[in-house]
Amino acid sequence: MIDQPTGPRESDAPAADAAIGHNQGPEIPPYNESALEKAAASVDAFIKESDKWLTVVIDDEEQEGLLVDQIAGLSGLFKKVDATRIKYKKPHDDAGKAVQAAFTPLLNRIDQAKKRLKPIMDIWLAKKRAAAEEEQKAKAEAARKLEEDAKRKAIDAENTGSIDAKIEAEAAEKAAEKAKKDADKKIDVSAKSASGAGRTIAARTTRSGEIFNQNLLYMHYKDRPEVGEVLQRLANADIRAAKGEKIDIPGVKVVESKAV
Amino acid sequence: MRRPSTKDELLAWHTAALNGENPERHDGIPEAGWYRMRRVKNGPWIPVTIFCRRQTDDDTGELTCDEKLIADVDGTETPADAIWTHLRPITQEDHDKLVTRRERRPHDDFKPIDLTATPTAPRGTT
Repeated sequence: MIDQPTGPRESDAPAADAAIGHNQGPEIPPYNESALEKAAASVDAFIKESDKWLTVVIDDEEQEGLLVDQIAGLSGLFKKVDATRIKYKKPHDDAGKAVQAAFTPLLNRIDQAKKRLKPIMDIWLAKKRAAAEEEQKAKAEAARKLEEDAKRKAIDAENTGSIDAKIEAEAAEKAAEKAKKDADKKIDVSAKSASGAGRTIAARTTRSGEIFNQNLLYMHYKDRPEVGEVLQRLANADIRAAKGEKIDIPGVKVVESKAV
Repeated sequence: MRRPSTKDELLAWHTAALNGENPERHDGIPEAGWYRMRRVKNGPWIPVTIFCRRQTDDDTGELTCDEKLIADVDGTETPADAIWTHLRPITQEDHDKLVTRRERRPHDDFKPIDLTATPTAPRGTT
């Protein structure tokens, strides 16, 4: 006797709220939780004690020594907690590096291929643009002639008063307007996909400035905050490089301040 | 006549060391003065005094036996030559401050100090 396949029983029906993967359990963090708890407890204790220091005024060497120890303790704790962080992050960093090492060469090859093909397209689009501009010139010339013709016909119609002449003049004016509109259209040169699936490639016009007088340029931008920031950075770098020796920078006074 | 060493003579090496003169240190030949040392690397500083023990004749003032240099290591006497090369010279004032500090915050001398283990509270708040 052949066993007949059995269909699903009513009790076999999946629960209404079941979904694929919902039984995988809570997400496991990528670090040792007890190591984190231990670090957090240490940090809590140090912060709590640091809060007590906030209202203290140092007035003798004993307090000075105690504060030195607290600051040193905080520095040491930072190093410890950071070392733990680095330890747990390392496998992920290594994995990320491995992924990059595997896939980046492929991306580089694609990039290189695109870079080498684009100039071929650029040459063609330049040709196309030149042809379109020529066509535009011709249209502009034709539109100019039609406009002249329309003006002449308008004058004739005015002079003769003839209905036919007026009709002709209006038609000529309409034709001239249409031709001008057509000639004024913006030239749009782009390369279209053969299959329809590829994105249209258009030549982008980019503009940039070529500095021929840096002083004039500086005067133009001198009130911009970014200019001040660059000058401050240059002055600070030169003062640091002087390593305590006297240095003269026009417009700058060297200021010394001490901090722990 | 065996005249006892004067205070200046006893402290000559120590004074020169504190003045930055870098006097020669000979293994096994300690010099009187105030010092500090550690029992273990990164352990707490321990105050040490090297003093001269001697006996003199009451009438003549001469030495009746050899002068001996003894080390007082935080209240415990020990032969000075055994620890001499581990000692760093400090002023008497710094020595006395160290004694007071240790009384207020005792540490296990044989364990390195780990400032990350317990935070340091301001005085009067623990």
